[in-house]
Amino acid sequence: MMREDPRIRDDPVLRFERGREIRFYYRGRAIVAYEGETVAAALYASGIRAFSRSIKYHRPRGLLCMGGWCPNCMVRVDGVPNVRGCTTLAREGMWVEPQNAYPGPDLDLLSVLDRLAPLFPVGFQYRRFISPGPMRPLYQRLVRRIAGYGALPAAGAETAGTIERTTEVVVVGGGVAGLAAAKHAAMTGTKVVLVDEGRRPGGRLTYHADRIPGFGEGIAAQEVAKLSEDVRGLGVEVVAQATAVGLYPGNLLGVVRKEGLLKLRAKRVILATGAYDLYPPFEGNDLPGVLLATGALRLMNGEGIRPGRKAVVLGSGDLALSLAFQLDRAGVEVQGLLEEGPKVPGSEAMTERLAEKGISIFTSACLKAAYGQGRVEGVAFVRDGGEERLGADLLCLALGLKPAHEIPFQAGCRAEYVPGVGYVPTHDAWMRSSLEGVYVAGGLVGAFNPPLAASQGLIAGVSAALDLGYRDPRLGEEMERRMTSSPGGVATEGTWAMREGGFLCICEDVRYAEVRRAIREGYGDIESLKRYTGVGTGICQGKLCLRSLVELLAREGGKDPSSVRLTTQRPPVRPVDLGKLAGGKGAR
Amino acid sequence: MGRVRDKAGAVIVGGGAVGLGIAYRLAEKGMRDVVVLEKGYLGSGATGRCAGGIRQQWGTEENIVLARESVRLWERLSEELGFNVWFRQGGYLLLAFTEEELASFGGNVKLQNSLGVPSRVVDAEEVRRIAPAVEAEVLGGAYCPTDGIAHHDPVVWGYAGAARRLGVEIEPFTEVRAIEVAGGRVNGVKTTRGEIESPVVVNAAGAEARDLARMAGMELPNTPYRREILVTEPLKPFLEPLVISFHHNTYFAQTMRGELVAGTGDAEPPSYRTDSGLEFLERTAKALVTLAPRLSGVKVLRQWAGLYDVTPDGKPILGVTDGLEGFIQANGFCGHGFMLSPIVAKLMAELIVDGRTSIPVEALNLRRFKGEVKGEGMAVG
Repeated sequence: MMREDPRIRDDPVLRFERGREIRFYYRGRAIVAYEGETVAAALYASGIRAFSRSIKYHRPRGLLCMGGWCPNCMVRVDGVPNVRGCTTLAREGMWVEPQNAYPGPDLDLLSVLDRLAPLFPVGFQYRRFISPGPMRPLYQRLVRRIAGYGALPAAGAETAGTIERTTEVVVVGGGVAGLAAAKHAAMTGTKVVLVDEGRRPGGRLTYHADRIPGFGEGIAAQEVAKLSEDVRGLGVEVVAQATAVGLYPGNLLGVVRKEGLLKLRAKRVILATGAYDLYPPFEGNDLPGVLLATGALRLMNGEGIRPGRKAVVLGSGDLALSLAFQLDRAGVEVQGLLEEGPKVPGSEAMTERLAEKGISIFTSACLKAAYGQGRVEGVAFVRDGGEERLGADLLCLALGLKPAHEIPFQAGCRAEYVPGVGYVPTHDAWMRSSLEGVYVAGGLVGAFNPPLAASQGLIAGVSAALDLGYRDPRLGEEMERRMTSSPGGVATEGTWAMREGGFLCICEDVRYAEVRRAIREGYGDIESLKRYTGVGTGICQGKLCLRSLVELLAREGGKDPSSVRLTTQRPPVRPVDLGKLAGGKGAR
Repeated sequence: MGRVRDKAGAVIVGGGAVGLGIAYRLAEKGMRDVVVLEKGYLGSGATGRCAGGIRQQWGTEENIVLARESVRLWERLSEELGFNVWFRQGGYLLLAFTEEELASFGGNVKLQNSLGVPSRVVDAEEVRRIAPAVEAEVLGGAYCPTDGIAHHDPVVWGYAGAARRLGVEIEPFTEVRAIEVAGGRVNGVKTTRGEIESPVVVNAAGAEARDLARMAGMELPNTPYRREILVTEPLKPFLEPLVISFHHNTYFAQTMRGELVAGTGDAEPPSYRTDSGLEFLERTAKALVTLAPRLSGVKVLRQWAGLYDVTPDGKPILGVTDGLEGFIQANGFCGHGFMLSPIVAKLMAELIVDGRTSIPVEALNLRRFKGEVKGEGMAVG
C-alpha cells in the first residue's frame, strides 16, 4: 500500500474536479473512490498493482494501456466477467472481483505454472496429453478448467435496443485529425456525426498536459478542448463513449455504446482512429509497473492518480521528453530517460527543460531488463560496456506509436508499408483511401505529429464534403496553404532495436524466444505462426504484438518488414457484448 | 521458393484436412512421390475457418455411415499423428422446438441407432441437464454422446507433419493454373512454380473445387456459399456439448480454450465472399441470447467467414470421374468436410492405391447427378 496519497490534489495545470466520495467492494473489501474515477484508477490509488494473472503462466499483470484494449485490468463486476476496469466508472456499491487467480492476483497458487514454464514451450499442447488414450478426457477436463478468464455471467444482462441512423459524413475518432475533419466538413454545411470512444473528444491529447510546438499556444489538452468546442458549435453531432467496432459493406458503421448498438450508415466515412503506443518485447516487459506512455498520461492527467514514485522513461523523442516533464511536475521522481541511439531525437528546448530539472537522459543506453519481484523495482541497462541500474517502480514506454489500422483493413482498404511507421491504409493527396467513400487521416496514416494530423484531418473533411457536392469558397485558400506548407514531418521517438527477451504476446503468454523457435520449426508464414504460437489471437487481437511479430519474421527471414504481410484484420475492433448486438429495433 | 518436383505419383490440390489427410494416407500405403499443392498457407480454406464440430447425427445412410467411421478414426487420430488434435467428445445436442422437429429427430435417431450410432431422443428436462446454459423452452431434442469437437489447426499441422515424415512434399503458396488433360485422362498440372507430371490429380480444393474441375474441362454441380462465424472471449468451462437449434438456424460450442464459437446461416446468394457482416453478428447474438440468456454479458472477440462447398443433394462427391481417368473428386462436403476428413482420407487413399474402398462409396460418385437425388435434410448454419 502506498503511504502517501497517490491522488494529485493541487495540479498547477489541470484542475481535478473530483465528484463525491463513494465506496465499492474489491474482494469483499471497501475501496474509497470518487465519482468520475474508473475502477482501475481507484484500485491503483488504493495500492493494487497486480490486477490479474495471465492466461497461461499466471504471471501478475498490472495496468498498461488505460484504454480498454489490453487484457491486464479485466475484472468481474457485479457478476459480469471480463470487464475492463480502466474504462468502467466506479459506482457506489459495485462488487468487483478478480478473475482466474486463486486466491487472488497478488498471490496465485497457479503461478507455479510459471516455474514449470520450460515444460510448456509453445506448441506443447499439441505434443502432450495424447497418451494414454483413456486419460484424455481427464486431461481435457483439467486443461479446460485452467483455460478461460471469467466464469459465465450469473444472469443475463438487459438486452439494449439497437438504433439505426443515416448521415452524410461520419468521422471515426475524435482526436486531432478527427476533430479537424469534422470541423472542416461541417463548415461547408455537411451533416457530420463524430464517433469517439472517450468521455469527451480529444483523443490521446486529452491527457497531454504540455504544450506541443506548432499546435497552438496552450497545453495540448486545452487545444483539443477548444477544437472540440468549435466542432460542437458547428452543429456536429458528437456521439461520445462510443466505439466503432467495424465498417461493413455499404459504409455501414457498427458503433457500440453502453445503451447498445448504433448502426450508422453514412455517405462518406472518415477514419481517424489514431495510433497505439509501441509495446516491444524485452526482459521484464510484462511486470506490473510497466505502463505505455499514453497509459501513464491517462492515469495521471485523466484521473489525477500519480502513476508511481520513481520512474524511468524509455525513449527520448518529444513524447518521451514531455512525459518525463509531466511526471516530474506531478511529483514523480524521474530517474532518467533511456535512449538507445547516440543522440536525443527530441527537440532541444524540451531536452533543456529536463536538464534544468536535473533529469538525465542516458544516450547509447541499451535496455537490458525491467526487474523486480512481481512488480517493477528497477531497470537495468548497458552503457559504455558496463551495466547500470536505476531503481524505479514505474517504467514508461515512450518508444513511439503505431497506426490503429484495424478498421480500414477489416473493411478492405489497401495497405502500404511506411518505414518507421508500419502498415498504413494507402491514400491520395485528398486523403481518399482505396475504398470508395472512405477517407483516412492522422495517426492512422502515420501522421503522429499533431499539426500534421490536423492538416490531414482538414483535407479529409473538405475532401469528403467536396465529394458530396458541398462547397465553401473560404476554404480554398486555407486548403492551398495547408497542402503546400509543411507543418513538420513524422515525429520520431528515437532508436530501438528489438530485444530478444520478454513476452512478445502478453495476451497469450508467448515469449519472444518461443516465437523465434516456432519460426525455426517451420511455421514461417505469419498466419500459420500466429495460429501455432497463439500470438495475436488473444484479447487484444494483435494491437500490442503484431508489429513485433512482423519485425521478428522479417529478421528471421533476413528480409524487410514490408515483405511480411499483416494478419487479416477482422471486426469487432473491441470485444462487444452479445446482449448489445442482440438488441431489438429502437426508434429513430 | 524453387521449383516444384516435376513428376509425382499423385498430386493433391488442396492443403486442408481432406487434402493433407489423403496425402498422409497415400504415403502410409507406400506411395512415396506424393505432392500437396495449396494456394495459401496450410489450412487457409474451410479447415482453418470452421468451428471443428464432428457429429454422426445425420439423416441419410451415406452420411451417417461415413460420420460413424470418421469418429472411430478421430478417436485415434492424435496417437496416430503424434500430434494432439484435442478431439473432445462432449456430444452434440440438437434442440427441438416443434413437434415436427421432434418427430424428425425420432426418425433420424432410429436410423442412426440401426447403423450403430448411440444417439437418443431426450426430453426437455434432460436437455437442461446436459446443457444447463440452455434456458429456452424446448420440447426436447436429440443427443449423441460420442459426437464432439476437434481443434482445426493441429489437424492440419498433424497431417502435414506426419505426411512429411513419410516423404510427402507439401507446397503451400503454390497455385494450380492448369490441368493437363489428354486421351481421356489427366496427366499433370501446371503451377505457379513449375509443372508436375502425374497420373493422379485429387480435387480436394473445397469451395474452389468447381473452378479446379473447369481447368480439367468439366463441370461440378457444386456451389460456394459464404458462412460466417464468431468467437467470444474465453470463459471457464460451462458447456459440454455442441448445441444446434435448426429452428434458429444456429449452433454454438465451447472450445478447449474456453471460447464460444457460434454461427447462424442465412439465405445468401452463392459467392466466394469471406468478408464479415454486421447482420450476422446481430442475428447470431439474438439467437444465442434467446437460447442461453446468460450469454448476453459474454463478449464477441472476432468474426470471420469461410466457404461451404455445397452439392444439390447435401452429400459429398467422392471417387473417380467417368471419362477423365486419374481425376479423383474429394469435395462437395457442404460444411462437414472437416468432420469427415479422416474417413475420406482413408477411403480415397484405398481407392487410388487399391482400386477399391473398404466402405462402399459408389453412391457418392459424381455420376449420381445424372439421375434423381434424395436430399440430406440436416444441414445447419
